[in-house]
This record gives sequence, structure tokens and C-alpha cells, in this order.
Amino acid sequence: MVAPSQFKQLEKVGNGTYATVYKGLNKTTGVYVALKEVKLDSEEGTPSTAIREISLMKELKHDNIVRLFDVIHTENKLTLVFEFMDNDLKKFMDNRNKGNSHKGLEMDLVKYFQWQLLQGVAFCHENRILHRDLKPQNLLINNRGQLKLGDFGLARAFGIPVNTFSSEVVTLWYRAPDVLMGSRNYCTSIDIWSCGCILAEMIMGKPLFPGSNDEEQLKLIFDTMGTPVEQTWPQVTQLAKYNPLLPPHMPRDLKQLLQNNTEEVLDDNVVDLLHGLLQLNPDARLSAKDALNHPWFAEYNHAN
Amino acid sequence: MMSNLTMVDSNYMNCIRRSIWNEKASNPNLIEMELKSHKATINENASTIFSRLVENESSTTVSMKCFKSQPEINFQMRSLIFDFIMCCHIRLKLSTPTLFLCFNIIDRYCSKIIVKSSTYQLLGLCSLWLASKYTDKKQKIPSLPTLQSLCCNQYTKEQFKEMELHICQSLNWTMCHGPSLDSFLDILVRGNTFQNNETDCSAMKLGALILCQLCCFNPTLSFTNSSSSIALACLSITKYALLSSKFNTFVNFETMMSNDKPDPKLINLMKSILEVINVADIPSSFKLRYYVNDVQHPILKCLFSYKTYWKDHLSRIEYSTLMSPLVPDYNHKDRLSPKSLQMDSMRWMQIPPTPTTTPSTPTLAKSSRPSLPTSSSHHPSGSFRRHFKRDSSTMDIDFFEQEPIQHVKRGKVGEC
Repeated sequence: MVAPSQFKQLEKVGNGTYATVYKGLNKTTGVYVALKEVKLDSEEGTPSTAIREISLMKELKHDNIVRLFDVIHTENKLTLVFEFMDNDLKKFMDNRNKGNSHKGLEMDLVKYFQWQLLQGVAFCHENRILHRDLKPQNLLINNRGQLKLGDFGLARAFGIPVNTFSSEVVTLWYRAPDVLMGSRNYCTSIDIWSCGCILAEMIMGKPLFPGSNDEEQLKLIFDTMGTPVEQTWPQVTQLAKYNPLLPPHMPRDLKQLLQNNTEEVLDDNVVDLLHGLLQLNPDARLSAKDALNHPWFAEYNHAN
Repeated sequence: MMSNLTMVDSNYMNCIRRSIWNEKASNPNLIEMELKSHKATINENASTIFSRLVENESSTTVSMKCFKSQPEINFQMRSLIFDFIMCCHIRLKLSTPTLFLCFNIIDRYCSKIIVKSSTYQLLGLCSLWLASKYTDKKQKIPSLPTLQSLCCNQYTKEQFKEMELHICQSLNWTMCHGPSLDSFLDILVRGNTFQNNETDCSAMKLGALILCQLCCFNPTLSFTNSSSSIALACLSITKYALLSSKFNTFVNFETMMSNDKPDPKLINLMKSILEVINVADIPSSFKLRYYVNDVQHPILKCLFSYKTYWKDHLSRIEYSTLMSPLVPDYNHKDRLSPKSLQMDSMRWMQIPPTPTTTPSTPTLAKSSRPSLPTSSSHHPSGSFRRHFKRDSSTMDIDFFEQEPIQHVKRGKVGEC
């Protein structure tokens, strides 16, 4: 058992979904940690988010998932001791944008980050865990360029086959169209959609679908990816939220769209991967493992 | 200003949002499509998931020896507490994995910490609370006052919170790692071994679930066997029980399985399970769950009559070889003619087998909901689960108000 006095609490680094996070110093080892404080004084005892996050992260030990070292209980709060990460992907990208100009990341870095992101997601799915809140803020990076999945406050183990989960998942901009159109049977494909949005955002330096409500979000998605029709998404016309009056958009040329927003020269492979991740029909979306085997990652696959 | 507005209306907005989501989520096509995609991922990862589950299983074992050295609690109390917990689980309409996880937490805690008889019930309820927080939807998780009322306010809120944390700490925060029996069932049912034209997947799953639950009540079985082997044995028994009732004859698992050269341990486990299940000493919570108006669920009937078949068979062998003076355990009262049994199960199969049905719930009307995809061909327990969820989702406001008191009378243990 770790004594709480072992850590020196330093500056506040952020607010998680249900807790405050501080930077901390392990006084005996001199190693920096992240201390996530969860208040316990409510009626509900230990919050279910904390129980899930702790249980899931104790189980998930992977290079691309933030490590949970310990849980400390004091008086009326729980402190989760995490591996310290210097930055998150959101801040990292924001620092490169000056004023209104958006600048994406270098393609080598995009590839390295995306590879690590998919590795982390694949590991979660192999362990029957859905992250359900993948977004740049929750992807933590350190000065060595490592990327790790963090904040499992909304994650949960999935059933086989699926259960119906709560609707409070995935920040709007990274939410899959099937979820927007009413699905609550969240399954692994919702994490994959988020991975696609993040890949595009890293290339462009700005979010791909920055909607402000469900309807606008769907509109933005269809504007770019094309309005789904029976051929591309069988039975879509029978979905509850399907609107036959939607202006039929042809899919826009994703490559052109991205190219307009980056100085890097894009190759067809990355566009193809993006298409695979951003399939409107959840059934047609790639799995994390498929994505890792995509030709765009050939250099990593051959290295292994 | 924005935040002020959202603060005021958040509860109301949540209600609205939830109802919209419920409405939207009822689209069968979308569900169907997602299940397809999800199934593909599962197929891709099934073996990894299975081995991870087995890994978790070995790190969350329970100890018979430790339990036996408990000074204040014993097996008899254990079965009373389990029965009480299962009654609570039914009344709170929690999900299936919650129950198995809860049983696992209770036994693991008892394998580590000395439990006073006066706090055994508190341990049970806190385990249920933890398991529910881990698996159930937020609206389903029981509140502290609800938990208190379940045990007639015997314990204070502070005691609940303290016990909850103590469980977490004693089990080093791995309390939710025990793989629940039903997750093994799910994986096994979708495996090829159990898929053939002669068996109905949702019936298999339900039958095996009931058997697994019965096994949990038996300390010898649950302390000395792993969850995965219990799940496999229960599934195998259910398979042959269903076959027997279908063909109106005893399909002997020993001879049938000998072609596949099964693990002798599996056969022995199946025998001990069959030995243990007994219609006479079925826990009261099972009556609450699987009996409607004192009539057994057909699957339950099918399982028990398989046991009778098997006992008959054993005694015939024993008489003919004059090996043992065992008295045959004829139980004519429970034994239905196979024909009527079959009719029964046919009828039940068409109704979604929602185990929590009370006479006051219009299950029949619900079952006639149009065109819910019956995907059982490629999604074993899908239809069963979905119906189950649907039914409970309409009833999550306040179970105390909605449920008539009749449940209280039927439950025997620890009810208020």
C-alpha cells in the first residue's frame, strides 16, 4: 500500500470527466506522476466511473495505454496514481496553430501517432473493452513521441453480443453516424469512427466535423462523406432518423479536401485508410486490426 | 450564463434526451447492422478474448479452505445470502453479468477476510452495488436508500460506503475482474461445437444460465471448479437436455460425447452438476424468477426431466450389473409426458423468455412488437437479451412503485 504522503502535489493539469488531475512527484523515486482525485462524499459511494476506470485500467497493460500505478484512499477522496504524460494531442496541435491559421502535423508524425492510437484501440477491443470517448484531449503524448490512450471514465467492458449502453458517449465531433442516427448498441465500430476523425484532424490541424448539435453533426458528415443511399448503406432509408429530403450529396473528394488543408503531399494510401475508418455503414468500417494491416503502415509491419 | 441554464434544466433535459434516445434506439435495422459489425470484431478477437477471460479467471479464484475456516459464517448462511441477493437482483432488474460478478466478489472477499455473521448481508449488498456499478447502465444502479431498504435499514449509509471501499481495497481493486459465467456462455454458444440445426441458441443460453446459477448456490461446485469449466459443463447438459426433449427420449451425454473424446473431467463435472440439481431444494429466488403462477419455465422443466431420465438410466444400469444398491430416484410428479413438454417449450420459445415477468406485465403484447430481427441464427442469445433489455428499459423509474407487493411474499429470505 502506498502512503499518500509519498507524493507531492504540484500544479493542476486538468479536469477529467469526473475528477481533477494534478501533476505529482513521487518523493522516494523522484518520478513524476499524474494524480487524479475523485471525491467520495456523495450519496453514491464510490462513483461508478471510478470503479470502471480503475478496474479496466488495472487490466489493460499496454505501451499505448496510460498505466495506472496505484489507488490511494484518504479520508473522503480517492487518488488514482497514473503514469505522467507531458501533453495531450489537443494541446500539442493547438500549440502549432497561430491565430486562425491551422497547421497539421508532419506526415511521419501523423503516421506514428495513428499507428500507436490503433495499437491501443486494438488492444482494448481484444480485451473486450470499448473506450467510447476517443478524442485528441484523451490521447496523451510524452516528449519521446509516445501516444497513449487515457481517461477511461466512459469506457466499459462490452458484452458478447452487445448490450445497450448509455447515451453519454463520445464527444460530438468524434461521434459515429450510426450513433447520431439513434444507435445505442455501441460496439467496437464507434471507436473506429473516432480514430478516423482524429487521423483527419492530425493531417489538417483542425477538426474534420465540428458540429454543434446532432443534426448539424450529421449534416457535416453527409456533406463530406456523401448522403447515404441504399447502395452504399443497405436499409439506411429505413432508419429512424433518415430524412428522405436530405439534399443528396455526392461524396466529396477526401484527398482534395485534406490536401487543401495541409502543406504535406498526401499519398493515396492514407486517403484509402481514412475511407476505411470513416465508412458510414458501421458494418463496412475497418476493425482496428484491419487498419493496422493497411498498406499505409507497411513500414511498421515490415519492421516487425 | 450558458452554464447557469444547463444547471437548472439538466435533469429535465436528461429525461427528454433519454426518451429521444430510447425512441431512436428501437430501430431494428440499425441494431441488426451494428450487431453484424460487432460480430465480425468478436470473431476476429474471440480466441484472444477467451484466453484473457481464462487468465482473469485464474487471478480471481476463491478458496474453499479459507471459507471453511471462517469462524462465524458457513455454507448454509452462504446459500441464504445468495438467495437473498438473487431476489434483490431480480427486483432491481439488474443485468445477468451483475449477478455472477456479485457472487464472485462475495466469495473472493470471504476467501481473504474474516466476515462476521452480522455483516455477511452487508457484504452481499455492497458486492451487488459494486457489480452493478461496473456492468449496469447508470439509471439501473441501485441508490443507497434503495439498498438500505432492501435490508430493512439494518445498516447505515456510512457502513455501506465503508464496506464498499473495504472490498475494493482488500481485493486490490481487481474486484470486477472475475469473468462472469455468462461471458463464457456467450463465447461458447457462438462456437461451432454447439451450433447445429437441432438446437435453439437462445434456449441453450437460457438453460445453461439457469444451470450456472444453480451451480453458484452449491459451494462444492463453485469453490472447486473454474467458471469456464462450469459454463462448458452446463452448456453441454443443456444441449443434451434439449435434444432429449425434442426427440422424446433420453439422449445419453456419455455415449454421445465419447465419440469426441471429451475431457473425463468435463464428464465428471456434468455428472456432479446433474447429481446436485434437485427440484425439491431449488432456492426460493428461482421460483421468483423462473416460475410464473407456480408453473416452471419449460427450460427448467426440460432440465429437471433430463435429470430424471439420467437417474432412471443410471439405476437401470446399476440394477442390471448389480453393482450398487442405489435406490432409483423416481420423481413421477415432476415428470411430464415428453409430448406436452415439447408443446410447452414450443409455446415459450415464441414468447420472449423474459424471466422477470410478473403476471401484471403485458409480456405477450410486447412480444408481438413488429419485426424485431430474429437473428438467433447467427446471433445466439441476441433475441433473448434484446427482449429482456427492452422490457426492463420501460420500467426503470421506480421499481418499488411499479412492482406489486406480491414479490415480497414470494421471496423467503431477508425480504422486508
